[in-house]
Amino acid sequence: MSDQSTNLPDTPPAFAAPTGPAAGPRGVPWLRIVFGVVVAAVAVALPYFNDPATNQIFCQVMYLALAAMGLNLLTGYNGQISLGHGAFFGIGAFTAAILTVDHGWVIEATFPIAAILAAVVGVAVGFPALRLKGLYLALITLGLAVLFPLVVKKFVEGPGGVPLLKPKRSQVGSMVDFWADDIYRYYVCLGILAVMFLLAWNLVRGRMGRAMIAVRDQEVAASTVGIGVANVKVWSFALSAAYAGLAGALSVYVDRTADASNPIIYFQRSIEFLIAVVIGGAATIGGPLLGAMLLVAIRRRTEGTEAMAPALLGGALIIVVYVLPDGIVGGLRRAAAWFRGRTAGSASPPDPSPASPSATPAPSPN
Amino acid sequence: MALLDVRDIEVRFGGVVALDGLSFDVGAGEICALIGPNGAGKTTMFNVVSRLYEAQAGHVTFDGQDLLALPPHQISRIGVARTFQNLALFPALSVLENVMVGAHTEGKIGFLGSMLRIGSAKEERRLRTECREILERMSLGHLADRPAFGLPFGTLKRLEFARALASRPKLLLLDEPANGLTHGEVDELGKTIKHIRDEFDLTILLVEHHMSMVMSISHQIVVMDFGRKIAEGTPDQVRDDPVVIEAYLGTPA
Ligand SMILES: Nc1ncnc2c1ncn2[C@@H]1O[C@H](COP(=O)(O)OP(=O)(O)OP(=O)(O)O)[C@@H](O)[C@H]1O
Ligand SMILES: [Mg+2]
Repeated sequence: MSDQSTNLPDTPPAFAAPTGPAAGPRGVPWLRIVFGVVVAAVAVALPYFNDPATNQIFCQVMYLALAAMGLNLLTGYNGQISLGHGAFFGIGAFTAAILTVDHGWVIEATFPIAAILAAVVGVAVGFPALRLKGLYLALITLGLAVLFPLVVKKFVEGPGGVPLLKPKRSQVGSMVDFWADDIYRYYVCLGILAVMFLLAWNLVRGRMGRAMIAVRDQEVAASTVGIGVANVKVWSFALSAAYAGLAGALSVYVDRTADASNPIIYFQRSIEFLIAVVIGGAATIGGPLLGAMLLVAIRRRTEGTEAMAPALLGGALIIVVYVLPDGIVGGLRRAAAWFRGRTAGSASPPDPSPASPSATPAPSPN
Repeated sequence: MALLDVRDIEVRFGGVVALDGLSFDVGAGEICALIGPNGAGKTTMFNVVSRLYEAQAGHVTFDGQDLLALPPHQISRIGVARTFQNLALFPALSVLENVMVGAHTEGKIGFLGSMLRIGSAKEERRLRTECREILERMSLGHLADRPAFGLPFGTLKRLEFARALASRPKLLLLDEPANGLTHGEVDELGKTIKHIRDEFDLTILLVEHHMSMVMSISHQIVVMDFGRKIAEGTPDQVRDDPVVIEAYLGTPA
């Protein structure tokens, strides 16, 4: 008698890749444990087999992955698009640079400050963002990334009047005798990355992570079950910005440069983060890391032929959108499900993992 | 005193008067049905109680509190839960997680607590157990770890029911819960609703077009047409009311 069919979905939320199957009580996941141990062992051993320049590249992957994870929390899990994360990254970078270069801080001590400052600005952006959605939010945050270098130019004057700060080599050196500078920095980055990814993982599979996803997919129902939508959105913004800010501080640690002389550099960063999230797999924990790896790999391949980078990246993006709509991680998951289905015969039910979760009708509240 | 008291509610959308001075009340423990032809304003009434629509005039009192003074996300905290006519589930979450989102107000862990796992493991276990029990109760236990995405409509309607129960409400608003079910399933659902009311100590406001179910489980029926109440009473009183018959036969429902 009534007409649920007339009321089919509004647009599915951007980047709303389905989260993976909840780890059910299927016994001990040996495969995962072995895989995890192997990955950890490789990550720990890696810097010993490489020269300092290569270790620096690994560190770049890590801070990029950290920033991408921040954006992933906001865009992937909470559905708020931001092209302004380059600005939060920049805030972190200049916080670290100013405190070390002008005030003589130990650079490691600036990391928490960078994260907190970025989070504070994140809150300041998160509130007006409550009134914006989709493209509008993307445009406003983009403005943030474009504006940032101009603001920095007003307040920061490095040598020669350029808004560029470089900590001394000694300021980013090793604090222990048994590790060379590059190996030491690698472990600092690895430790921070591991902790921040663990925190994110804890978050997204808990009460507030579910709330973030609920707000992303179905704001009306989320508020009806008692989720403070505004609260969740602003918190997501703050946390997300903190990740990006911390990543920015790490970039100064790794590359020994905070640079605002190029007016579009932080805008480019924003795009990089977004590409890493989309290619790796939005709303997954592994996605930002895989995306960051791929991004840096592409950047390396195209070194010298700068025009190639956008072409390759664009190509990768198109492939992802058409072939792997939920990114590398989503693709791997589907491959794994397909493989399990093959090996288990028809014992397990077919995996209903969707490419987009839009088939469940979204209501206007009615 | 009545648990829910609706007084002179008026809602307009431009020129359309969706609710036109509607008044009724629901006593604690009752099952009250809100019926009427398509477009009568039933869902609009639910949306007023959920604070999704603003009423231009009138009052709603729940458990002695002025409900219209609260923001939407506070409604669940004072004990009102609902389902949606057209479903409003979280497709990317598993069936169990959907119910756990329904239990949001039963938990306390915030962002930092979740990240640092301060007290969250224990709360999470408790919620998980309770929500699994609710799923079992709604015969959805075997689907707990499946994504909600792609399940049949009837199953999803039951899932929404389960999600609403997870907040331990006093008042439950069900918007066409039997929609999309077969005749056998409708009878089954009627029984479930009655049992759940007893088990969970609920008061239920029900919108439903399946008259057999409405007549068999309701204590009180409010009949609406064009946003107004045209009749009210027990199933027996309403069944034979000429005004009601006129409204239903006179409108292609
Ligand atoms: N958001 C809205 N904007 C404009 N008009 C609306 C809106 N919501 C409801 N209406 C109108 O209000 C009137 C009542 O609609 P409502 O959905 O409450 O009816 P209903 O009794 O639930 O009908 P059904 O049995 O078909 O579900 C209708 O004329 C409808 O078009
Ligand atoms: Mg309706």
